[in-house]
Amino acid sequence: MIEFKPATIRSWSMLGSRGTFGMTLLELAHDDARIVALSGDLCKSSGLDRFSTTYPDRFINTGIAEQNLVGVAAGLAASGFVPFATSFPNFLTLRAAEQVRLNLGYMQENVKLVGLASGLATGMFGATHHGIEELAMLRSVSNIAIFSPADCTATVKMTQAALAYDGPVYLRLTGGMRAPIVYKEDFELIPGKAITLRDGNDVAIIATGSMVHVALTTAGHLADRGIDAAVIDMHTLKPLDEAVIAAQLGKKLLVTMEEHSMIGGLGSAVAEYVGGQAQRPKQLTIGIPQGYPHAGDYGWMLEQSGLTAEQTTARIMDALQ
Amino acid sequence: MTQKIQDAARRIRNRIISVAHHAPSDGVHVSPALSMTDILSTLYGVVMQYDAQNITCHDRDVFILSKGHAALGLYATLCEFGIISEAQLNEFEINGSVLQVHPTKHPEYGIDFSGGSLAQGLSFATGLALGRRLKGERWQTYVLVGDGECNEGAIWECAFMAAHHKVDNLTLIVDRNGLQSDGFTQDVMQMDLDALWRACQWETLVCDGHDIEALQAAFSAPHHGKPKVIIANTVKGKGVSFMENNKEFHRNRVSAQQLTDALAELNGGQHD
Repeated sequence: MIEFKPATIRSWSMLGSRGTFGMTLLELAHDDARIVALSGDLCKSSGLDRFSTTYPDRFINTGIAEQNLVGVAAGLAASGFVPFATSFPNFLTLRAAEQVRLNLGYMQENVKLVGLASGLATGMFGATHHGIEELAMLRSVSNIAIFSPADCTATVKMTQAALAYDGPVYLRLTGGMRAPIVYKEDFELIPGKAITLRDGNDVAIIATGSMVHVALTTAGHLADRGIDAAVIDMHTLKPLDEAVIAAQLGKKLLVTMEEHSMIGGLGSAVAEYVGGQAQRPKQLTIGIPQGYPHAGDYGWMLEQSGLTAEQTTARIMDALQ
Repeated sequence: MTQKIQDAARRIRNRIISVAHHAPSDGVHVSPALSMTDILSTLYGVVMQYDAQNITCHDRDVFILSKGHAALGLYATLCEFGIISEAQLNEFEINGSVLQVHPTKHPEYGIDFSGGSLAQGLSFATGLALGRRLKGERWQTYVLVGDGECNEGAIWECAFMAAHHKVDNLTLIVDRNGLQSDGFTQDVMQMDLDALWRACQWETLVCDGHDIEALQAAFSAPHHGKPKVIIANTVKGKGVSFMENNKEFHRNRVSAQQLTDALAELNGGQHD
């Protein structure tokens, strides 16, 4: 039984999303024998060390072979298990794109893909490891739900939700260790139902993953400048909560914020919906511009991509001119 | 028993040719279906345990066709063994039919995997076998790939992994017919499959893929604690001389005259 106590939430934050995921899966596996975990030689990086020793039969290392990893996970799902298949997002989804499409999209096997350290969290590793395009690929594949928790508390919630969800899921883990806390206590999370964290009449900021905390800080900066900004945690990118977006169409500006390429992620998803509406505000898409920034630490990488709260505040102020 | 399986294989080949002739499209993968017919007849006729009238029951052996372009051979086999009806088989390639060029997962028809994108069936079958072992179930998983399909890297990712995890409730059959889309496999991509599978630490057997007794012996041979691969030497287009080893029939139309000629040769005066 996972308890959402303030001290526990702080310890999850220290672990970061990967460690929190590993801890959560270990807890869930205690009560649900259907859970198996798969790793492509990234057990330690995925926070699954304790899982692998506690449940050695239910931990499968496929070696460095992600195409096979996804296919084997699908076969396990077909035999009644709920596999959590983990790796860095590019290897799990882009390298194994055909396997993901066939086994999860087409055949709808009940596999949970877990993209570790998505976005720029592996900063110093360089562009090979930056997970900044996988949403563009996954969003185009039918039948896969996409979960994107805003912090470690939400990571626990969304791991539970992925287990409960009947069908393939991609769980996108962003942020580093000592992750900022958005949810300080237990909260209700319903897949597909975005959470409005802050009301505001002038601007609506729709953010996902690690950028939700940045969006809240940005909204604070905007308030100091007399601009009233709403902040929405779009924790499920697919199916997208269109109703909550529809309610924002009267604002002066719609902003999306994500740690992903500006092409194909949350900004695109929102634009695809908003573009079909008769009356709509201007949209500002904040994400990672085209190109592969040089490697650096996580904070520096965010700054290089224009994703700090100071930078996003300035861009929103410009857009409002 | 051998004669019974041979008769079943002959009827399956009849169906493959007839359905290919009547299919509405401009071509059908005929010869890849014919090369694996004796293997599937043996599997469905004597090797696998299943209830044709209750094919969605979890308690059964499973067959996965990875070389999905040979789907007509699977469909004709499912028909021969009473899992689908003649009427269902005759819906092959009709718009909206379950029975497409490549198989689509459809449990009620006994189709457990969507094939067509090559080299994906082996990983799926390995996962299935691992799951069954984890549950302590005795059911076996069989998967068939083509020799050309073994060009794909995903095959070898799984080859190492299945051996490492000693998945000994898994049997892979390589339908080694020596031809792939662009020609003879030795010309397109030379691969010593016997040596490769042995090097991957699989229980490796080689047999004549048209010899029912040899196939039965290979299927019943022990796994020795390993995944087992049966490299079945076959002839693409087997049973119809003008299709055998003929690249033109990888995918082609079967004309009325070719249908007549093929059936005459297959049946040799026999009637069911």
